[in-house]
Amino acid sequence: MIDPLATNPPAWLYRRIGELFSRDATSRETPLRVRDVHILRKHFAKVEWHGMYLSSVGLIGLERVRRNPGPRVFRFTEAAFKWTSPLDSAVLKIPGLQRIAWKIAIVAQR
Amino acid sequence: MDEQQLIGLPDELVERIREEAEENDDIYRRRTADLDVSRIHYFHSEMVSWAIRQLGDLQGARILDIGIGDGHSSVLMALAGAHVTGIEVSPVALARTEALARHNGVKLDLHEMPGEALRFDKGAFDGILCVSAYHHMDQERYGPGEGCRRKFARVLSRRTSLHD
Repeated sequence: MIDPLATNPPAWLYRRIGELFSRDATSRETPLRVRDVHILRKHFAKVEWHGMYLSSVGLIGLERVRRNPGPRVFRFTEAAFKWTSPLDSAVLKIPGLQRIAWKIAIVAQR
Repeated sequence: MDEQQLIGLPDELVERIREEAEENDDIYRRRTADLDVSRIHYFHSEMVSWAIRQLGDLQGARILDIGIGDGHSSVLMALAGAHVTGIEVSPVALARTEALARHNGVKLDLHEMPGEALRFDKGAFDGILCVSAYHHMDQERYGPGEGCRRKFARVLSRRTSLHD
């Protein structure tokens, strides 16, 4: 599964001031914490996780500042994402940073 | 919301699922539908591609896609040869997924069903894909036997047992 991490600082802030933006999400979100991985281990024999995205969260934030961002905004964020995504992958190799990633990707096997 | 799927669930959970379905209906009504799966939002596209890769060879695999949304992930997996069962609480999203599947010439087994109450046989699937949906569910509140994690594990076969 891929879901948001509760401990990403910009996303945490965004959730709290989300009503100021055109938030495209429902009101009952429970972003995951790394401890959720430990709970999954009760039900699955093998569970691996890693953090995804760090600076890229800013691009999505940029798209959501206005309710209907124009195609120019999307062209810019899509082009920028080609740089930020691999950059994030490299930066997230630094120990400890995974816990403040934007998303958590979990692969679990029974 | 398909009331049949809510039978036997605690009142608080039923209320939560109904509200989630209504909010999701509103979200999907506002979104522009795109029937071209190559034109998914770049960010969602990268996540879905990564998640699908974790499932390995999809040819003939029975995959449960939880919280299908627009249906891009379901259609992509079906195009890769998987037998995809998709569940979603929003009827509007399901209708969009049906249109996307039709346009791309694939068949999906779609159900209006919450992830908190999977009504499938034990071991019915070789893999589960769940992208940006789990955090909308009530994950553990209803205790052992009710938590999503246990339900996810139950419907996975022991043979291949991939979960993503």
